[in-house]
Amino acid sequence: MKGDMPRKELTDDVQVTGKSSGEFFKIDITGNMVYENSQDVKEAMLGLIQEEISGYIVDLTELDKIDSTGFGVLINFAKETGRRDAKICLLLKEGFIRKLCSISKFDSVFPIAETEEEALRYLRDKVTGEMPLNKY
Amino acid sequence: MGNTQSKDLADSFQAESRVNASCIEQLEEKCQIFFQRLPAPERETLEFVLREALINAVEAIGKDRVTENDQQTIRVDLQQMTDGTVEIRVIDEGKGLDSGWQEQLKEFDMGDILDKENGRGLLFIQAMVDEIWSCQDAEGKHVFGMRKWGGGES
Repeated sequence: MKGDMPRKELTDDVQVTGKSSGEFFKIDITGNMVYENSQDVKEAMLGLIQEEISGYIVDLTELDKIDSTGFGVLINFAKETGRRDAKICLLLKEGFIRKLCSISKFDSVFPIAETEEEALRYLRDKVTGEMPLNKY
Repeated sequence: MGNTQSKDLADSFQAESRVNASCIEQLEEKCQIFFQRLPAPERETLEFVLREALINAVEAIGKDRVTENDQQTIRVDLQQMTDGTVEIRVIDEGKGLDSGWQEQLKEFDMGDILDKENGRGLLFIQAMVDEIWSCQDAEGKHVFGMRKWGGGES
């Protein structure tokens, strides 16, 4: 699938959008990724998985809020893409959500980039976290 | 733990909501009045741990079993002491935390559940506040308490 996909308005609080980014695929999550909408976000992200894609950039730069269930959704997505040997890179700015990634040790599971260019480079170079999920 | 305070009370706030699909957001919104007076880093941390405690409370009550006519409530008590210490108590009529939760927290850390979709809530709380406890109040309701120490007299 090439080009932008329609923005999926899950609820008033969250949107999940997928689009091609070079040879990879970028998923933008904006709003709140929380307990109340975690099932919807999980299904929306899984619906964007494509067999031919070898890497996904999950862009959280416009995410306002995440809780522990949101982190669970990211793990679920990583497991599903991992089964297809696809890599994931998180796109994140410095701030509270980045701090939560450190506390949860997500920064050892996923490479974290601050720019899309950096994320594309990580995916091309097949950079993984220190403890990728396929080691479990 | 969690029943004594040597510092004077500087501010307090209480919010309550019936248990329903939007009770976490309702309680968060009400508690903003208290949290907005705090510096941004502390506010973000405390709002985050409150949400995690509320998720645990709703899960323990069993959101799916709650009907529109259910009278069960969740109450949040917030206190700030003169030294800046903030205490959060979440009081509900659920079954509380599983027995042995403190031992589990000692035994496991985030590195042990990296591939798990659940189980991070209490670990986040433990990492982000200085004290946590669980008990029953005089009415037999479950109380989950968290305290983040302040830096000194304010």
